[in-house]
This record gives sequence, structure tokens and C-alpha cells, in this order.
Amino acid sequence: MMGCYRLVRITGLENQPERIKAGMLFTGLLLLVYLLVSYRRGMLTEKRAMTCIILYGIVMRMGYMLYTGCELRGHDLGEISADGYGHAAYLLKLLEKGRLPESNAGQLYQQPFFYLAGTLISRCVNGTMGGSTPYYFVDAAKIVSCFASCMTLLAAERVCSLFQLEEKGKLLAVSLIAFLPDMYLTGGRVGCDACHTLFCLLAFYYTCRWYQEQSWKNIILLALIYGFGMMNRTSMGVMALFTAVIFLLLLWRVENQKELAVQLGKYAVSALISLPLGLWYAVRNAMLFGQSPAYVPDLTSVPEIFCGDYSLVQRYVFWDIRNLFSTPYANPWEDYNLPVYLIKTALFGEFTYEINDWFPALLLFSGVVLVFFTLISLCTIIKNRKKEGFFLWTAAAFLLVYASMIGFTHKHPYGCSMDFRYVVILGVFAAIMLGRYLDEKKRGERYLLTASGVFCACSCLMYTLIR
Amino acid sequence: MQSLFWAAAWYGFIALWLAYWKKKKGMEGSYTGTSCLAGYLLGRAFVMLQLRHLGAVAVEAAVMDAGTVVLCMWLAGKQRLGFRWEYVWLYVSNPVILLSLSSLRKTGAVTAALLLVLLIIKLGGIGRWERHSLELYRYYISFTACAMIYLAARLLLGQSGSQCTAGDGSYPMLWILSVSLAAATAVSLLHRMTVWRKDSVMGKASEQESAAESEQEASASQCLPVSDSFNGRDIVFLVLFTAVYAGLAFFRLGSTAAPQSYVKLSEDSDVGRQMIFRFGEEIELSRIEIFLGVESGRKISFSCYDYDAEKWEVFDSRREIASVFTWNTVPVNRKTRMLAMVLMDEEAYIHEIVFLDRSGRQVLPVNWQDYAEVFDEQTLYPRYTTYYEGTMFDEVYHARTAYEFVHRLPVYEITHPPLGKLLISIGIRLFGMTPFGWRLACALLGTAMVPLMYLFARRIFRQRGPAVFSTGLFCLDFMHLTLSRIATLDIIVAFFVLGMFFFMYLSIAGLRQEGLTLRSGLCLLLCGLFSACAVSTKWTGFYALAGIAVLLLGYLLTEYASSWQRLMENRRFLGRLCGVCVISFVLIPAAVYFLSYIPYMWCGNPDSFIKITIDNFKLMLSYHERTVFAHPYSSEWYEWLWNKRSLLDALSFVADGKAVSVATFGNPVIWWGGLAALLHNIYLWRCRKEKVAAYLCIAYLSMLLPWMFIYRTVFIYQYFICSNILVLLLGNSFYHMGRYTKRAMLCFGLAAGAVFLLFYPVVAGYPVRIDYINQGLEWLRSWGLG
Repeated sequence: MMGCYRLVRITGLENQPERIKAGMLFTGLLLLVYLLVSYRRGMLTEKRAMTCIILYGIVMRMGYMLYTGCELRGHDLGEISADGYGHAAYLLKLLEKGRLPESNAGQLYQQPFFYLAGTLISRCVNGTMGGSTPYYFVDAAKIVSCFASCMTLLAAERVCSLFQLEEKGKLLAVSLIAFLPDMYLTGGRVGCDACHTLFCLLAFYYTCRWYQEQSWKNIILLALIYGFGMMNRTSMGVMALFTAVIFLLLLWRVENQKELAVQLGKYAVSALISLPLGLWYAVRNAMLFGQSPAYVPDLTSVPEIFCGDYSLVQRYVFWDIRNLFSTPYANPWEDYNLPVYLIKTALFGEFTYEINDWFPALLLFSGVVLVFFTLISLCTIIKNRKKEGFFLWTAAAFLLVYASMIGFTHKHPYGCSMDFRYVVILGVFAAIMLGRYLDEKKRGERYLLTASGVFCACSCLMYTLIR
Repeated sequence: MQSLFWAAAWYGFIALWLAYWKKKKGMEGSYTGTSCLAGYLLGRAFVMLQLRHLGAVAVEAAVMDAGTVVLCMWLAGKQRLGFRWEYVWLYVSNPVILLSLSSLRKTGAVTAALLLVLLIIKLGGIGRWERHSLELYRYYISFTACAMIYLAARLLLGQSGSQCTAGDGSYPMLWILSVSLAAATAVSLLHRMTVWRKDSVMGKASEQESAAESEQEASASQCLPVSDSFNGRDIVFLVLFTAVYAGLAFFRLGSTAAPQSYVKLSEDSDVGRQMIFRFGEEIELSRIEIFLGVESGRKISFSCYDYDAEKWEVFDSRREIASVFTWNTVPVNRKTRMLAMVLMDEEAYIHEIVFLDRSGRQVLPVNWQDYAEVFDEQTLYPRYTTYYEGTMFDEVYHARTAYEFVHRLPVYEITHPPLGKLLISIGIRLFGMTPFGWRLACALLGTAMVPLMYLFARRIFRQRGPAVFSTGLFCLDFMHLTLSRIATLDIIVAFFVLGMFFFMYLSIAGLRQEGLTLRSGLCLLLCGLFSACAVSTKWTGFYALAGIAVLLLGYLLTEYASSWQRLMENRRFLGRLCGVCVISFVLIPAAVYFLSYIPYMWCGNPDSFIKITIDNFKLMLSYHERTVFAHPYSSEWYEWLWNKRSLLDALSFVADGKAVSVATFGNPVIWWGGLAALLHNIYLWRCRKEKVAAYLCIAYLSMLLPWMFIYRTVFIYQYFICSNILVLLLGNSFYHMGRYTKRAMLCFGLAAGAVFLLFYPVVAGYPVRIDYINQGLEWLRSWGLG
């Protein structure tokens, strides 16, 4: 990935995004032709199809990251100077001064994992390239996000395998994750969202692994994931709730004292690793600035994006259908309805695009159909809870994260608080549940597959054709 | 256009959906040339009546449409191209044609017609696809849906394909949806056709599937519980429901005390047209509260005496004191020693005046004894004025007119017949001109509707469970409670309308069981009496009257006049019945209607009551035709169905961030569930020939459909008489759920109850924090509750 980034810089392709997009399109066509030929020859296996999907998912992420400068479609980047208060300033402080921020203003309150990793990568990429400006130092940090986004895709495939999703279901789930637009968006941006998604998914995966096999390897990996995850963003604590329930469930099943002692020992070790790793920065900020671990910047100075004057039912229960049919894009200044805002930001972030309206409209409509099927799948899983195993956990984790989102937006009732980038993991859980739905051969398979096809095609085309 | 669109959409989809179900149940042979012709005439008449301006283009399109229908009917009659009557029905009931005609687009109409005919020919004409016809029906309905969405995008939102690349921030989302759905449906159809060609087993499977579903339905319909007899338990339920509802209706209904004595300001009165109040020393007045008497909208100028300049300074000229029998606030916010009020109209009745200083304390002028009548009930001024102490919404018309009847004053409100206001006046006679007094009759009639509803439901379902369920829901409906607690005519007319349908049901049941006996005749007479009272209260009673006429005629036609021979056999019976009906539905209503105008004569009108009635009839007709004005709470008939817009009757802000709000709208659980129940009942009526469903659907539709053709400004409370049927529709739907009936009723009832508790404060005007109203209760943006 770093090589690609350097290549683009060296060849000057960064100033010719159309060429990168053409390359993405060409790769897509090539893979499609390959799949069709394999199909015609009867050689199309699940593994081959999966490889193509993952490959193209990675191409889309990398392509998007390469043709999108860090100042485009970013969030809170701020001034590209070490004196600022945005993500750029955070990175530059680390790069130039070699130390953590001395204030918690703006984005400087954030946990440091992404910035430390970004600095490291940036130094590797730019350190050997002469004449790098602060812009490039900041821009290179996107590689961390892109890497995390790609790893999320690979990890999702592992989760599907662990859950023993069947052929069709697994392909559907991985396709949806591969071509979920917010994965490209967060992967091509300077910010900790992509890493957060990766850590959440890894935590979920290793919790399931731990449930299967309570080995030292699994618990230490889990502890490290939580440690680094919390060091990346404290809202990783939501997933910790899920893991805590599984821990307690396993503890409940322990019958003899020796086993109990071992189990408790493992938990203690896990806590000893994860807590200092995850919370040291939060404790530092609490000591230095009196900052709460759940701190987020106050937005009361931007009353235009306040949406707390709408009723809870309008915001969380009903769907704002009129909004859904008025524009495909989210508008943090006017929108107030969480479900619709989440769908829109999952597909387009908080941005508008110059493209033929057919692509965003079809992407949105297919997305809505997929959400509809996700809800049906959720209900089906809950209804058949006794035989659902890991899928019930997926449903539980989905509900937990969604509930945390409701809690967060209720506490911070602003348009931008409802952005899907905070809960991209929901998309992964939804895709797994949809895979399960397809495997179970419930009604509407044809519609689900059609909607998924349209979704993936529109997602690829849109993010290749945008100007 | 929106009204027409929704009407066509509802009509078309219900018709097509029923056609699908009939096909599924193998009843497609039930279509005849007559039914198709009736469907055609009804559908087109429906469009023409909704259109206000018919241009030549519309006539041309209608002629072409008629030509297409004739062609289709000829093809079906001769059985050419595999055409059958069911396909003619598919054409005539298609909403796309209705909308194309109504949008006055000849090209659109013709294109749509041609496409439809081609599609139908495809449906019927190819014999080898005959067994897939059910699936083809689905495609037909899907294409129709796409076309409807397309028309909505084009006609209602003005969207088009050219906007896709315009880049001007306008997104033709609905247009894209319609086109992409149509494309997807077309692709799917083509794919299916390929599969059908290859694999004939698919058809068998679908047939087996539909047969299995039919069997399932048949077995479900056999699960209906047997009827149980009316006994002591019913009385217990009846009393319990009535008592609980009475508690809800009368709790904080209104104050039993309000300022009664008054000063009349006019040239010929003792006081004259002005009042001057002296306060002795200089005080800082914040506001004046005036409890106005019978004349509304009085213009009064307020002035303070400036001792330095030695002259009167007018600080509020020609201020309108608008509402009668409630406190009207006049802000002052100035220091003064002397204040004057000068009436700018002919006369005004002032019941009480309260002066308040900056700290909110009441201040009495030193010369208060000069106007003792306006200062003798100072303790009745509440700290915060709410609905409890005065009139709200249309009470300013109806309660006032009832007061005028009591005191034989000239009648103010003459846009509705007088019976309802005469009933309101009974409460005023008993408890004086107080909020409790003028709301008493409505609360009593609202409460009386509960046992009436129980008896009606009990008679219809012949089962206690659904009756208890329906009555329980009826008690939990917001609009029922709100209208029981406000002195307007809607609850009164609703009571009579419910009685009309109840007694008509008893009449028909009696006629069916034992012919025209004393009991069934008495029921008809009672139905007539209730009809008389309904139309003498509000003209919406006429819609219900049309509904019961349809029900009775429908029954007679099917039972006694299905053929000429049967008609002849039953002519004596029908003759006697006709006589009873003339007495019940012509003579009694006419008599009651005319007699209800007698009090006008006592109120200073020199004409005979017959002349007064006829003159008032003409006036009402012209008034309701031209009452078109913008109102923040007005709504269209199709918006009532999903409870879109509430009507705020009263809103007052009281201490500690609390507000007292009274809003008229429906319990969303009942109304939204009722909408689904309506569709289910239409299905039961048309596909299962279920008589109760037929009765309820006709009752409901007879009171809703007229509103489609009414252009005056209307409000959600006009749907109330209709919404009462929803609980019975729900009861009937749940009654047909087989073994799930009890559990489903319990869950639905609990949901309705929970929502009722949640909304109780804004339904009954209970003080509650404004945040709770805004954050917790405003489920839709159009619900202005606080």
C-alpha cells in the first residue's frame, strides 16, 4: 500500500485522478470478465469469486484513497500546521515536535493510536522522499485508514468463515462489506474511524474465538485489540460491553474451582494488558485538562445543526420518508432522523457529489431495501434464537451498537453526531445477518440478491465516476 | 390534484388487489359485463366529480377511453383474443387511466390505455401461460404501481428525467424509482417468461402453493368462535367501560364557576361606551384581563391619563377583544394613575376585568364600585388561564349560541342546524354559563356512546371478546375523548350516527330473521329518529343517512329483488316496508329538522319556523360552498386516514415550564391499525362475502367518500364519525384471526392503552412539561401539540 502511494506520488498520478479511476474501472472489468469466463467454463468456485470480490474491494479502497486528497471529503482536518487544532495539527505536532499535544482543544483531545501509527507511516513514506511538505506528511496518514479498511474486509471474511456461513451467504456478506461506500470514505480519510471499525470487528471476532476456545493466545490477542482499540477511540468501550457479557456467560458455566481460578487469571491478565494500554491517554488528559473519558467537543456554538427540538419518535422511530425521496445526500444542517441519516451517510458520507443522479438514487434505494431485509433478518434471528448461535450474537452486537448510537445522538443532538462513520461496524453486522438470511432461504431471496447486485454495482461505478 | 391522486390510488389498488385475490381463490368468473360497466361508470364519474374544470382535452381523452372500454367489452363478449370479463375489469379499475384522464393529458391517457390493453391481451391471449396468470397478475399490479409512482413524480412533484444531469440540486428521486422499478419488473417478467418456457413444473408448484394458501385461509375461516349469549358479564363490562370513560370525560372537564354578572357598554346603557378607572396612586400595570361576554371581537381603545401633559394618551387603539366567555389579555406595561377603556363598537358585554401589576398581583381601582359588576368576581380569575376556565376553539361559536338560546338573544352561529346547540344549552341551564355547563351535554353524549358501541359490537360479533376489544379501543381513542370534553357538535352528531348504524343493523337483522315485525319496525323508526337528530345537528349526518340507505337498499335488492319474479312475490312486504321507511327516513327527519328551528322564533326572529328553516338551509348551502380559507390546522381527507395533522384546541403555558394543551387527533395505534383493518375488511367483504365486513365497510366509506368531492376548508374532526367505525373494523379483523385472536387483541389493546397513557396530557389538557410534549409526543412534524 505504501509502495502504491509512493508510486502515485512519484509518477505524478496524484494530479491525474481520472487515470486512477480508469485503472479502477479497468481492474473491475478485468475481474468481471475473469469471473464470467470462469462461470462459462464451469470453473467458478466460491474461493475464486471470494478472491475477486476481496481484491476488487481492496482496489476500490486504495483507488479512492489515492485519488482523494486529504483535504477532500475529510472531517475536522483543520489547518495544515502544527499550530492548529485539527487532525493535521495533531499529526504534525507528533512529527515535528515528537511529542503529544499540550492541549485538548479541537481534535487534540482524541486518543493517540491513529496519530502515532499515522506518524510512523508518514515518516516511512516521506522520510525517504525529498521535499515533502506538511500537506504530504498529513496526507500519507491516510494509508493507515486505508490499511485498516482493507483489513476489515479480510477480517470480515474470517468472521463469515468462523460463523460457517454457506457459499451464497458468505459471498453476499463479503460483497456488501467490500463495496460499502463508507468503507472507502473512511479508508481514504485522515481520522481514526477506519481503525475503529477494524478494532471493533477484531474484538467481535476474537470474542467469538474466545468463546470457542479459551486459550491464552486468544485472550491476549483480545486484550491487545481492546487496548489498542481504546487507545484509538474510547467508544470501543461499547464493544467491551458485548465481550463482558460473553466473559460472564463463560464464567457462569465454570464448575470446578481450579478452572475458575484459571479463568479469572486470564481475565485479570487481559485487564492488566488492555486497561493501561487503552486508558493511559484518557487518564493523562483527565489529569492535565480534567477531561472526561467520554468527552466530545461542545457543539452548542453551532446551533444550526441542533436537532434536539424534534421529538424522539421523529428522530429515532419513524423514517423520514419525505427526506429519503427529496435528496440522496445527507444534510447535517437540516436532517434530524437517525435511520435515514445513517443510511445516507453510510452511502455518501456528509457530502454531495457531481454525478448523474441515477447512481446515488439507485444506491440509496438498494441500500434501503438491504436495510429492510436486515431488519427482517434481525427479527428472524431473534425469533429462532435457540438455533442461531453466533448469529444471535451478531444481532445482539448490532442492537448494542445501534442503541449506543441512539444514546450518543440523544446526548449530543446534532446533525453531524448521526454520521455512520462512528458505527461502520453496523454495516458489517448487517451484512453478516443478510448472509444468514440468504442461507436460510427465507422469502424474498430474489429481491435481496437484486438489491445487493444493484448496490455493489452502483457503489463501484459511483466512486469510480465521481468528479 | 393530490386529493384526486390519493383517491385514484386507493380506489385502483383496492380494486386490483381484490381482483388478484379473486383470481387466487378461483373466483375470476364472477365478473360480468354489468359489473365491469358499473366499475367503469363509477370510476370515471368519480374522476369527473373531482375535477372542477373540464376542458375539451379531457372530453377527448374520455371519449377515447370509452372507445377502449367498448372495444375491450366487445372482445370479452365475443371471447376474442382470449379476452375475458376479468380483463375488462383490470382495465376499467386501473388507476393509471383514471389519473391520465384527470391530468387532462390526452396523449398520456391514450398511451396508457394502449399499453394496458396490450398487456392485458398478453395476459389473456397466450394460452400456454394460462396457468401462470396469477403471477402475471402480480406483474400487472407491479407495473401499475410503477406507473402510479411515475405519475406522482410527474404530476405532483414535477420531476423529469432531464433533472438527472441538470446538477442544479434537484433530484428526481421518485422519477428514478419509478423508472428503475419498471425496468426491474420488466427484466424480471422476461426472465420468468424464459423460465416458464423451459420449465412447466414451476407453474404446477405455484398452483399447489396457491391451493395450499387457499386451504389455509379456508381452515382459518372455519376457526371462528361460536356465538355466546348476552348475560351478566356483558352488563359488568358495559358498566365498567361506561364508568371508566365517564371518569376520563368528566375529570377536569371545566370549571363550574365563571364570571356571570356583567356590564353592558353601549350608548343607551347606564355606563355608556366608556369606563374610567382610578387607582389613587401611580401603579405599574403589566396587563389587563377581560372576561368578555356574548359579543365577540369587540374593539376597545385603552388610554392612560398623563398628569404632566394633562391629557389622555391612547396606548392601544382599537384593540380587538376577540374571544367570548374566556379571559382576553391586554398588555399595558406602563405606570398610571388613571386608565380608560372606550368601546369602539356598538355594544359589548364585559363580565369581569382584572388589573395586574408587574409582580402579577391583582389591583382594584379605587372607584371599582362605579362598575361593581365587573369587579365582583375577582377571585374567579385564575393565575394561568387554560381551557378549564374559558372557551376553547369552536366553543366560542357553539357555547355562545347555546347561551343565546337560553337567554333568547339573536342567534349568532347559523352555519349548522340548531339541535346540537340546543342540547348544549341544557347544560348551561343546569350549571350556568360555565365551562362545565357548556361541556356537560357533550361529555354525557360522549359517555353514552360507550355503552352504545358495546351493544353495537356485541350484536355484530355475537361474541364478548371482540365486543370488549372494540369498546376498549373506543374508550382509548384520543379524538373521542377530546371531543367529549369540548362543546362542539361533532360528538353529538357522532352519537346519533352511531345509533343510526346500530339500529339499522338491528333492523336488517330483524328483517332477515322474522320479516317486518313490530320489533324490526320499531328499530327502523328509532333509526329514523337518530337520523333525524343527526341531520338536525350537523349536515354530516346526511352522509351517514346515505350510508344506511345503501345498506338497506343493498339488503333489499339482494334478498327480495334479485329477480323480477322475486320482486313480484315480495311486493306486499316491500310496500309495507317502503311505508315504514318513508315515515322513518323522510317524515320523522323532516319534522325534527323543522321543529328544531322553533327556538329561533323565541330569539327575536319574527318569521315562521318553516321560513326560518328554509332560509337557513339556503344560507348554509352557500356558506359551506364558499368556506375556503387558509388555516394552519386544516387538512385534506386523505391526510385524516393516517392522522397526519392534529388540531390544537387550546394551549396555555403555565408555571415551571409546563403547558396545558388540548389537541384533536386520533390514537395512532388505532387509526393506523384501523387502516390495515379496513383493507382486510374490504377483502373479507369482496372475497369471502362476509356480511359484517360489508356492513362496516359501507358504513365507513359512506362517511368518507363524500369528503373527496368537497372543496371547502376541512379539519380532522370531520373524520370523527368515520373513525368510530375503525374500532369495529379492527374488532372484525381480529375476530377473523382464528387461534391468534385473543393474543393479538391483547397485544394490540395494550399497545393502544400504552399510547393513550403517553398522550393523555395533550388529549385531556393535563398540565405537563412542554419538553415532554415536544420531545415525546410530537411523533409527526405536522402534529402541533405544544
